[in-house]
Amino acid sequence: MNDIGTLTIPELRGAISGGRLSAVDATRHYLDRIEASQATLSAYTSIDTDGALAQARAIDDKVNKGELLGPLAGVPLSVKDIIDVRGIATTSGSHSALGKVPAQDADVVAHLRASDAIVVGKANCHEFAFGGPSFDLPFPPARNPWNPEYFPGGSSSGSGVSVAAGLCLASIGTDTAGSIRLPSGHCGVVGLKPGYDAISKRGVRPLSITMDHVGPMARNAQDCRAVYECVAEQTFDATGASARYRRGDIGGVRLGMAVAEWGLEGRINAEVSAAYDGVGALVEGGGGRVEQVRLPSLELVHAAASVAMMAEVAANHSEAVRERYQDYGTVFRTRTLAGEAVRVDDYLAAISLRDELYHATTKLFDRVEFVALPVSLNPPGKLAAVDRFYFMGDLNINILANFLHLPSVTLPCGLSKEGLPIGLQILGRRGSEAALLDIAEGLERHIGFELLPCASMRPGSVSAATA
Amino acid sequence: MIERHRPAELPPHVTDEEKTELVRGRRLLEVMIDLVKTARPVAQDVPSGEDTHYE
Repeated sequence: MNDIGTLTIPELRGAISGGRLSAVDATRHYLDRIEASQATLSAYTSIDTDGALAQARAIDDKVNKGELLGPLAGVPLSVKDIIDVRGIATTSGSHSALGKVPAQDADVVAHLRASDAIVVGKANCHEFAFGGPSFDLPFPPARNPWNPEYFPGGSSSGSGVSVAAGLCLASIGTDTAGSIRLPSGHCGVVGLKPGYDAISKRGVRPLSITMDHVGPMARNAQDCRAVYECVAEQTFDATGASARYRRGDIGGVRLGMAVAEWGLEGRINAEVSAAYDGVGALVEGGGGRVEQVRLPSLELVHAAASVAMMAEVAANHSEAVRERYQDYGTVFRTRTLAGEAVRVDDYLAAISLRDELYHATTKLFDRVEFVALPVSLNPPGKLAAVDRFYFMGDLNINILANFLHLPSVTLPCGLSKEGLPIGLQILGRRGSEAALLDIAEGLERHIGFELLPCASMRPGSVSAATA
Repeated sequence: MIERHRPAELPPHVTDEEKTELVRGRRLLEVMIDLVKTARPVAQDVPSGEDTHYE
């Protein structure tokens, strides 16, 4: 089979279970691509060639014996390197953690294995999902496959890159202030930050205990759903929080557009604004209803969430940073020690706003089912020019969903004039992950975004980085 | 009002560039803390005799 790289997750599983493709051949295809791209994109911190091929052979044995296959049989995935995969070091992208090999899988990885997925390696990330991009870590920063001079987003940078560049079919990332959604948006893939307890965090290095989330990233909404259904702790859509849609249909959806009422019109890049407005027009054209809605003050949400996060990061990491200063990257240690400025009463004031902001936000869901937001105010910029405190200096749209524990799905909605993806996110009420993926699938079909420039790259065709 | 606390002295290896960045980061945080405190003053920051307003 010559078109392995173009198969979606259901197609790949179907080809393997039907005996038209061996899991070993599929795995080799992705391992070859990883090998060829690593020097340019640095998507992985470790590649488990032997382990992945052993897993693939076990799946082929099952096929030969006629045994039942899991729903992700033979599907190659990467796992962010702050998540434990037994037998492979969890480096957290840090000199301070090199060589720490877990004996057990994180719960989310155990779910992947139970589904017969193949973990091909650990995805590069910012140091402890916080310190990056940085050039003084054990691994060079991951680079955007659309143009390696550009920032792929973070902190799940390698997850976004590995999916977009066709180096796996899906990845597991984490999101504390947008770390799944930003790389998904910047790399042009679909990312789901589910609700707070939707996916277990056991075996995942904590960063900010009330803000951390685990979620899947994939080439499209259908693949993202396939992974989410296997790793979610709760029964899929058990809460019935939102109406389900016919997959691929946006007719009848009531979508809130929040940019204008949030005071972002003067701050948002014109290309991002045009792509965002274009989605509103597509929804109306597809039989949906669009309404302008007013979320709580973005400045206040950004401030309260950032104060809470920085305090939690400092509480979690600053003692170790002070003790072993030279073992951490300069970005991570500077950000972590900055968080020490938050006093306990500052922290309490910040988290005491959570309920109030939650109710003010979810009140909107009486009028609309979902709220559309950009992923970032600007398209991806140059990797070398990323500000150390970009997540505090610029208003962080993504942090709303982390602070309020609301699910949000990201999908690409356009390209910048530099040819970099622009991301859109759809926010829903708690428990609405299934409906969000339905709507994402519908929007995806209407938007017609083509991932192929990256995903179909042949090994060796990745242009050399020039930054 | 309680004075802003001063975090512990920085480790000896901190470079001048890092100190500058650290100060910038803390200033950004302090602006956000002021905004949070304005929206939600906690009891110990409220002068005695006044009620705390939560709206």
